[in-house]
Amino acid sequence: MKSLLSLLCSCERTNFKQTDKLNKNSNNEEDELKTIDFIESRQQDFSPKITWKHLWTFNEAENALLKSPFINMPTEMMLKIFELLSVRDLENVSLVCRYFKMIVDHDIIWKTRCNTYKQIYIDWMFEKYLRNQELKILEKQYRKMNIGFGLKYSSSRYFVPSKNNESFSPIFGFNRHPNSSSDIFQCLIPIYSYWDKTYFKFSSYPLNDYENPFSFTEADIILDANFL
Amino acid sequence: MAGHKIKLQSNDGDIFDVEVEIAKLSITIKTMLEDLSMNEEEIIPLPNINSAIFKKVIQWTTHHKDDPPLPPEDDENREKNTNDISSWDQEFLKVDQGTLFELILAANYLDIKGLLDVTCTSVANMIKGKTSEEIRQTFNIKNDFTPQEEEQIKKENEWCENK
Repeated sequence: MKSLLSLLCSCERTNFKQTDKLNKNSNNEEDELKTIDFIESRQQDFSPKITWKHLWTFNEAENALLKSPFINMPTEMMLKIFELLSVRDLENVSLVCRYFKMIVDHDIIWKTRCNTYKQIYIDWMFEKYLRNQELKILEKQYRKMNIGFGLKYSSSRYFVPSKNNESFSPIFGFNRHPNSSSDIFQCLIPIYSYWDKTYFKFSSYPLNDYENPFSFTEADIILDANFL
Repeated sequence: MAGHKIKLQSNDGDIFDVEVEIAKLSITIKTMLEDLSMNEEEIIPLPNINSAIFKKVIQWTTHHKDDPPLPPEDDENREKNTNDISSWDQEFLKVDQGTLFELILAANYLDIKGLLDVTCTSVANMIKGKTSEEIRQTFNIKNDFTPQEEEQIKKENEWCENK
C-alpha cells in the first residue's frame, strides 16, 4: 500500500513539473491525454488481488476457535451468519482469526453484495479509487495552470473558486457506481457520446433529434419480459 | 386431528409429547412422519439434541405455529431482513452464548427455517459494529495471525471500502 501511495504521489509530482512546463508553452493537450490514460495504466500496474485464499490447512486454523462456541459451527451456518454483515463488519471479521478469514473470502458472501465475486468487487472499488485520484490530479493541474476551472470546455459546473484557496477533496462522492458518474468528466474532458448521423461522426453535444439508444420505455420492458 | 401428539426423545433420554402440528414445523420430523410413515406410537429419537435445547425449540415452535410460511428466499430479500427480530424472539433469545449456538445447530438439524434465521441474525447482531479484537473477546477466539498476515489482510481490506 505504501509503495502504491508513494508512486501515486510521485506521479502527481511529475505531473506538476510537466504542468509548469506546459504552462509556459500554454499547450495542455499532451497532459490531458496523460490523465485519460491514468486509469488504465494504474489498473494494470496495481490492481489489488485477494492476497491469499485458503492458505492455511484446517489444522492451522482451528486452534483459534478451540475455546469458542464457533468450534462446532458448520461452515454453512457461519456463511449464513456472515452473509448478514456489512462490508465494514466483514473486514473486522476477517481480522479475527484465520478460520474466519477463509470463510469471509467465500464467494457466496460477496455474491449477495454485488452479484459477483470478491475479486470483482475489489476491482470495482479500486477503479473508484483511481477515478478519485485522477480527479484530484486534474483539479490540481487546473489550479496550477491558473485557468478557470473547466472553462476551456464548458461553463463551470463543479469547481467553484474558493476564497481561502482551500482544497476541494472528493467532491463527487463515491457512493455511486462508476458507470453512473460519467457526468463528472463533462466539464473536464470532452466526451464523444453522441452519434451525429448527418456528419457521420461522434459529437460531444446532443443533437436536436438525438435519441439515446440505451433509453427504454415501459413498453420495452413489457416486451422484454416476454423473453424471460 | 388437532391435539394429536407424537413422542420425541432427546439424546439424554427424556421423552417429549409434542403436538403433530407443532412438530411438523421441523421439516426433518415432517419428512420422517410423512415419507417414512412412522408408527404414531413409535418414539422418534433425536440424537443431536439435548432436553434443555429441545425444550427451547418446542417453546419457539409453539409460539410460532400459526406464523405464515416464510417467503421463498431470493437474493433480493436476503439482505433486508437483518435487524428485524420480533420482541418475543428477542426475549426468547436472551440466553447464554452456548445455548444460542446449540439452538442454531438444533434448528439446522431439525430444519426449522424461521428459528435458524432468527438465531443466525442474533449472532450476526453480536458481531455488528465490533472491532476484530472485540469480536475475539465476545466469542473467546484466539488471534492466530502472524503480524505479517494481519498486515496483509489490512492492506487487502482497504480495497473493500469506499474511498
